[in-house]
Amino acid sequence: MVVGMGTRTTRVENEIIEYLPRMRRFARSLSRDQADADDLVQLTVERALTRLDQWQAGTRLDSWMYRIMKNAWIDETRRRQRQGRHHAPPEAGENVGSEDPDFEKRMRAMAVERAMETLPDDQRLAVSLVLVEGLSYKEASAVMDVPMGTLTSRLARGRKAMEAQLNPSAMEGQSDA
Amino acid sequence: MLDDETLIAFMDGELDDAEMDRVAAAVDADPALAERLDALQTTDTAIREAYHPVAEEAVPDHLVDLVRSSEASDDEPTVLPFRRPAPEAATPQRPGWTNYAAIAASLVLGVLIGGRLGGGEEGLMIFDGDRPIAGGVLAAALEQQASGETGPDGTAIQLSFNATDGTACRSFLHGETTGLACREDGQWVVQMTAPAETANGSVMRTASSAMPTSILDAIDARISGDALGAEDEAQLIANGWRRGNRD
Repeated sequence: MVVGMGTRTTRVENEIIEYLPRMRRFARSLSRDQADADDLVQLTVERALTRLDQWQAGTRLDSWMYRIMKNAWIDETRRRQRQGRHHAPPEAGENVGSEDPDFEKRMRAMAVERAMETLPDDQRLAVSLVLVEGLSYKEASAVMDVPMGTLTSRLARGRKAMEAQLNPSAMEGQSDA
Repeated sequence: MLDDETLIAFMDGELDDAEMDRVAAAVDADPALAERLDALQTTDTAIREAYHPVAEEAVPDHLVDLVRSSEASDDEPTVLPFRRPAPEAATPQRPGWTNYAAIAASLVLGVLIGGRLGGGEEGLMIFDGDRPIAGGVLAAALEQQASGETGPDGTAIQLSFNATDGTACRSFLHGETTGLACREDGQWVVQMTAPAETANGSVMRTASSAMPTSILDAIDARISGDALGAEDEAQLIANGWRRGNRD
């Protein structure tokens, strides 16, 4: 069958391009450093393109790409840990003047980014996929390769850890359940 | 007091209907619970707002170029083996057609584009970006022809139905190609095509003797309720497929 020449790949490519903004967002929630995040997107796209034959047509291409990115990120995180590299990205917003109309918004975003960075990897993934990327529990657990129960508990722990940093007063009287 | 995990699942809309109602009632009745929910939502909002702008940024050119210039587009096999969509492909909370490109592309879109329809009869499908739009006699049949009728050029419309995302969809047969098209933004977007064949053992057999299983599966995955009756269909045709605020 040769009639599909070029058509399939062009269409899948267009779909990948359509997902790039979301992939970049997901990458940024995993890696605070913008250059690292875009490297992660690049690696994900490269892997997706070379492994297109492993993607099951009819399943969600975006979920498949999230999964590739998750694996790439975990690999990279472990590699850095082995090498003892602690990446401390510069504070991108340090030069932002307080007269900037978006100043407060940026400060809040930076606080979120810093808090996300303190989460254990599995909790950060759960929070990213569900809260930032808007995946259902079922989709997120499939991307993470864990049962739903594991996903929900990581999500709850991750959110409470975020809350403890972003809004500590709201945590008063809350149990550590 | 309900635990955080339950409140979180409630916020995410991940409880079953009865549980959603139960938690909503509990929150209404208990100010402390409402306050807790509010705090959880504040954190969620902060997290979403922090990352939302990233998706609005322009994607760096090198990433787009990487996809466009990929070796895959030149060297990969032309058509992926078609496999049944995995169950998780259906995502009720996100109606939409994110999969149509993948389904159509991986199946036999080539039949329409590169083969019979596209080759000999110009304009039956027109690409609008990456969306294949029905044109020519196919568009005319989808727009005006009643289900069960075959037009002078041999285009038959088999059935019409409402999809779960609110669009109207119709299956068609043209020559030896069957397909599924849905009306989006005033156009018929071809969701998928497949070679015609005799379907057997399918619940929709009576409506569509030439519909292959892959089309039937695609209909099953999208249909909301039953196929449209003649009267509803006639009304949609008369109204140019507009109804309420759907279109």
